[in-house]
Amino acid sequence: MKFSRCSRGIAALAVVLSLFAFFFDSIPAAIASGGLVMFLAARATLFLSALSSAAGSLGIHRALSALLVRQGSSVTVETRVRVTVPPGFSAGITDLLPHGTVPSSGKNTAPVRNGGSACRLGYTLAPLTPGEHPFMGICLSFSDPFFSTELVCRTTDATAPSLVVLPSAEYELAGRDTYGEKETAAVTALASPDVRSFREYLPGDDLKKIDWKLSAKYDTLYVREYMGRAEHGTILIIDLPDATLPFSPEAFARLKGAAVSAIATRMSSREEFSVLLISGPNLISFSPLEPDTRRLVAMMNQLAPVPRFHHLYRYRSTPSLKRRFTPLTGVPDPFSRALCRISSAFLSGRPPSTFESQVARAFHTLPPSLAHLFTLADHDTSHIRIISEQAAARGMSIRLHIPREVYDQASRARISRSLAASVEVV
Amino acid sequence: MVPSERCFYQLCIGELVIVLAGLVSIPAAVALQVLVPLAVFRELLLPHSAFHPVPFVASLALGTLAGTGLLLSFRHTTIPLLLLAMFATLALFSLILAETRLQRRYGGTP
Repeated sequence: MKFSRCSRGIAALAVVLSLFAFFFDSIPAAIASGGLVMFLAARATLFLSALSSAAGSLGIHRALSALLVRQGSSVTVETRVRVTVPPGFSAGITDLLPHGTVPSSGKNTAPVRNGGSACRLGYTLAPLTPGEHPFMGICLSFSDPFFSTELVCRTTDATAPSLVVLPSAEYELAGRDTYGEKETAAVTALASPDVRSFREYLPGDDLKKIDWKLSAKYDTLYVREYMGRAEHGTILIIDLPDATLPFSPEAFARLKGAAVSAIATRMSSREEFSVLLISGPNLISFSPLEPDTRRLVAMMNQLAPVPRFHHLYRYRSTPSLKRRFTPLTGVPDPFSRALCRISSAFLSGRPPSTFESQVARAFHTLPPSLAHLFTLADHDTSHIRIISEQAAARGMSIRLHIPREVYDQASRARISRSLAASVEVV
Repeated sequence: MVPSERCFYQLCIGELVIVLAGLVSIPAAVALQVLVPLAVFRELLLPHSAFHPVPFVASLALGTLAGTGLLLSFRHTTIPLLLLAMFATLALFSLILAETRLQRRYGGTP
């Protein structure tokens, strides 16, 4: 239970009054101090009573678009929560995601109206880890003007159903994995002998991966997970800095080195990949599945800052704005309703920006895979958000590569607003 | 100024008035001590926004009266203040314990 700003002030006032009463032997000050302590104690007791009443009224029903899903695919979750909030208190509901999943769209948090009401949470998540993962429960955020707390409800209703994530092995494209998995750059006819871990067998796993000795020992089928999983349809996006604005030459040199190294590694391993060169929201070039080594080498030599002709500032795409304003539809506040009405009138006819269309077209030519974005993440990061949204819509995961020179608190905050799955500091 | 801050400043002024009134009449100070917080946070008593207002007001009034009775039975304020501190600590401990029990009751096994 946390004290609000108001209750902290009241507690401080009680302490001041009691000190005054102690030093000046003032009975009225002691009465005032005692009265304030009584007031806070009575409110806290009421708060816990109301919290218990609200928690007891929780009714949860969660529906998933699929209970058996492949690793990396999207799952739509709809959670309906009934809760009775006593008058004078406010509450919010957060659906806690299963382990190894990340939200890809929608919101898993919603406020609960005063009184008794049902709220609906609709969102999409992407499971990343194979196995059976139950939901982590429902978090009830409860507050009044004096106290606030969060109650995590992990009853059977709150954690059901379990999401069974199957490995993504069947998504590998036929004909691209002729030589098996490998951890070295050299092409080999044998799979890598190095085993990263073991896990229980799931339908869809290759039977060749079953470790029979371990399976016999524990009387359960176990499969080997090898080092260096092959990545197919990789796209490398290199975000060049603006030549007209100051930037860190050391950071750019490191970024360029990392990008060149990634390209060279894929070239030497004869892995197919695409390269998208951008500078902020300006598309410079796109080389889909470029087989010509000379062109790639020439491109690597030309990685340099370019002047940007188009700029974005805190740009939000139309789907993102719709997601932002849709929850306001049911809000009783007239301002929110008017805002929702006006924004939906404008958003219905809002065309996507040129950069959005370009990125969408570039991603359309690729199979669902992994995107590596090499960026300094300086100035406005709207283009990173656009790329992340487009990648999420295509079922691609995105990994940011940022030089350590520019990876500070500010850039971390900017990046956290994008939808990138992971960040690698180079 | 946000409403909670305004309420807090009103409460500070009210407590100052209570201390001054207590110099003249202790019963008046006790009555004011019960009424001032309720007047400042009057939403807590309104029918549409109050949760169990009668038990709340009754417990507040009885607690303040009992505290005042205890205070007046001593010549100085030192021992009553020590008792008040003990009461506050005990109340805090009890509330933390009650909240922990609630968390464990609904927390289950992840």
